[in-house]
Amino acid sequence: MINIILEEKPTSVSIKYNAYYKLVILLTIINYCGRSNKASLQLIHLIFWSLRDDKNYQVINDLKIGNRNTLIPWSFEFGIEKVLAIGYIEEYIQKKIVNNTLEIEITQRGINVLKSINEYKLLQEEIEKIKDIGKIPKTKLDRANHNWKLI
Amino acid sequence: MFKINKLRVEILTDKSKTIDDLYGFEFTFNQGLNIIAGENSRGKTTINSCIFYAIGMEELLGGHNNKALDKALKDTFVIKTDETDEEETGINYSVKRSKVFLEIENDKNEIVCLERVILGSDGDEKQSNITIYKTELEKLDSETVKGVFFVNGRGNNDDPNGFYEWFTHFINITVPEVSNSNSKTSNYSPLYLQMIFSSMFIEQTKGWSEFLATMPYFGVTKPKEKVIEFLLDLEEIDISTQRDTYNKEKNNIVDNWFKTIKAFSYLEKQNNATITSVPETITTEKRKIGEISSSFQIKEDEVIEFNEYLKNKIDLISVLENKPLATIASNKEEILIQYEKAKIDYKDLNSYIREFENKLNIEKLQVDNITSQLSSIEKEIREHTNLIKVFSNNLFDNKKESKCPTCTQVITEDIISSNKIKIPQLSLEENKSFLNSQKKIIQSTLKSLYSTIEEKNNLLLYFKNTLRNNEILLKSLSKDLIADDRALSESEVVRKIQLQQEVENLKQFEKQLDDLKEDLINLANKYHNINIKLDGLEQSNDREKLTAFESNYKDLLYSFGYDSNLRYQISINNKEPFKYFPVYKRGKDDTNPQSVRINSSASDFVRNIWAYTLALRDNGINHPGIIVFDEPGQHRTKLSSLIALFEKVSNEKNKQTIIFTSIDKPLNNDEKEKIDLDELIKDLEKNSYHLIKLDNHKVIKLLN
Repeated sequence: MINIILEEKPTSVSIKYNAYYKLVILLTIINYCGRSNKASLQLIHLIFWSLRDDKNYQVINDLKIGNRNTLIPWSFEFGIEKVLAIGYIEEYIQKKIVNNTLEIEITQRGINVLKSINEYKLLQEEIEKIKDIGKIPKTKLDRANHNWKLI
Repeated sequence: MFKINKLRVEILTDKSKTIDDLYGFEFTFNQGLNIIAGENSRGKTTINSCIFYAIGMEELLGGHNNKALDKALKDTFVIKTDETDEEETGINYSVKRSKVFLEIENDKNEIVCLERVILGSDGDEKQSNITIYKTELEKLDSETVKGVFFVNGRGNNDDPNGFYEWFTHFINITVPEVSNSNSKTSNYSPLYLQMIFSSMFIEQTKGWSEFLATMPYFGVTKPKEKVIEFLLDLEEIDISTQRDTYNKEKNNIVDNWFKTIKAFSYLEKQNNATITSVPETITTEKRKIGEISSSFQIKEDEVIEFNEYLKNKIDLISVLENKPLATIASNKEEILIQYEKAKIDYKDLNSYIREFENKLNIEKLQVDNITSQLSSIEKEIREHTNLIKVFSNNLFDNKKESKCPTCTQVITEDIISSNKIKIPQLSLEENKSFLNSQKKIIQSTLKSLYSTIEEKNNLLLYFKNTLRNNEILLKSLSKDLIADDRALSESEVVRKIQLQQEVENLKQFEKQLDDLKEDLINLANKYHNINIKLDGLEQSNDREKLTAFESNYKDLLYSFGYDSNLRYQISINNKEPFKYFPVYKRGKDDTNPQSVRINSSASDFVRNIWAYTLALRDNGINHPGIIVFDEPGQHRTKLSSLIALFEKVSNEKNKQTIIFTSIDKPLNNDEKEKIDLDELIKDLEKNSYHLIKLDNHKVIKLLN
């Protein structure tokens, strides 16, 4: 008899699929792009999408500085639900209902984590990019979102 | 020579009520044999690592500064509250500051005390500084004369403020200069103390895997040989250092040789010539360099020599010069034929260039793609490093049970896998090293792409030049064809000018070729000289020392119960490979000696390291005298071998040996023996050893 043993070989996966990496990004987004420490799911997904590549980032940046008032078709970020779940469990974020929509709020614990990461000057490349986007008015975002253009 | 008198570790904890409320340990060591015995995980290795750390040898444990040390010394430790309790329960102490003191004495009976911070409480207390007090540990007070020296910095071995420089003076050895490829200012560096100590301090895990296994890399050529040459005071060390320098110079010359050879091929391509008889390996024969010659292809199957080619061109010019300037009418027939031919040539070349350029552009595009890939990998690596730091600094405070409080579904940091499908992934560290290796591959691809593109760019330039010449000729031919028949033919003039240009280029080419040949001759001369220097180096006369060392080593080896091979099969090799190290030879005339490690059982190899280390001390005129063995009872060692080892070192009363050993540890051999301390020291002379028995507690406790 020949025994065939299948061995699973671990693969290399981009850091974009690491929940804790995403959690840092998520906290940063809520902290810098959200209003009064709260951000809607739509905003979170949109900023995540803009970090995927330079073109996307350019679109959001143009929207922010008023060079355009439309969006190109964008998509949801993969695995956010799991990242949110970790955030809830570890109490870095919590749910809040504002004007009948769900918003995610960063807790003091979450802010502390961000602070210490900044103190150690870690992951600054992405964090700086998010800081640069900063707050985008909700009405502007909604209007642009109703008005998709291909390019 | 030196010995260790006392070791003391002081730890201030979060539970210390006053700053006098210190934890830690203190041990005294004697000349001769010292045995530190205790059950597993009582802290033997902690004590050992403190000795390494105190004299700046933590690199042998595999880390700089306090990274090499156990967390009990810099983070947290536990003191058991209930002695009978088998579990690791007790009070947790967290370390606020800690330092180690070591009292050492040299053979002039000078006693000094070294102090080094493990965990400092403020910025002034650097781990990379060692403070030296010129007194005994007991008499230490603020009045004592002291000096501060640094370790782990640039030039720490030869800077007067470096600790090792001081240390070599203290233990009264003179370290030789050896050739070093890392040295930026000269080709030499001192033989670093850390390298020498790897032959004396055998650490528990890596230390028993190979001779001098823990030696750090400093760029010294043939480092292990150098250490042995130094310890045994062989004449060879000076000669071999000189030889290393010569060899380095020689390699440099050979490198330059190949660079020059490569220049020939560039020259070839720029001029569309063929250069033949280029010697592939370095040669000192002038004739061979003189044979290098160039030739040119004029037809598909006809190749002519450079001189002939040049002569043809010059002849053509003189023919044109001597010919009276023809009018177009007289020449019309010929011009027409030439025109047709030139047109076809031009078109062929043009389409060839276009194709060539397209291919080149594709390669350039490839470079762009790969470069952007490289930058994204580099970014990914950076983020990996960052995230690893986030975890290693514990920035996410303790992770909770990762379960959803509502649905109890398990939440992990892996977000690709779902409940049903688990995708195995590399960990962050693994992935980082994977990416790093990928980066290396991409970099080497890029490098070779760059060099081919550069080569092809040169070729393209040559092609385009030729095309332009063709163009000019074609233009003048066509002008002749439409001009007045009575006018003078312009094409012949153009042709003449072009020919003159070609001759000029050819002369230039000849000069470049001669220059390169001259370079080769210069290199060959240098090569010859260095070879003479190498041959002229004296033969060292170390035979006597090596024979004595070998026989002592073999006596020791067999007294420890080595039985993998017969006595005559083992010897110390006096040439490469395994120079100065034990080798196995099948018979006396075996020309292929093999490593003794491969030809010995695991436990016999450990005996080899015992014997080798001890023989180095017995025969080593420059040996600092101290030996530290951490857990010599490795693998399937027999108890009788260990007894023999203890007996041998206990007889050495004038030199210090420190052995850390477990007790009640099964030896894992066929006789199912355990390391029995009583059995080990039963036959030793009563005052020939100093026993430190660690009790049931961990080694760190309240100091009084």
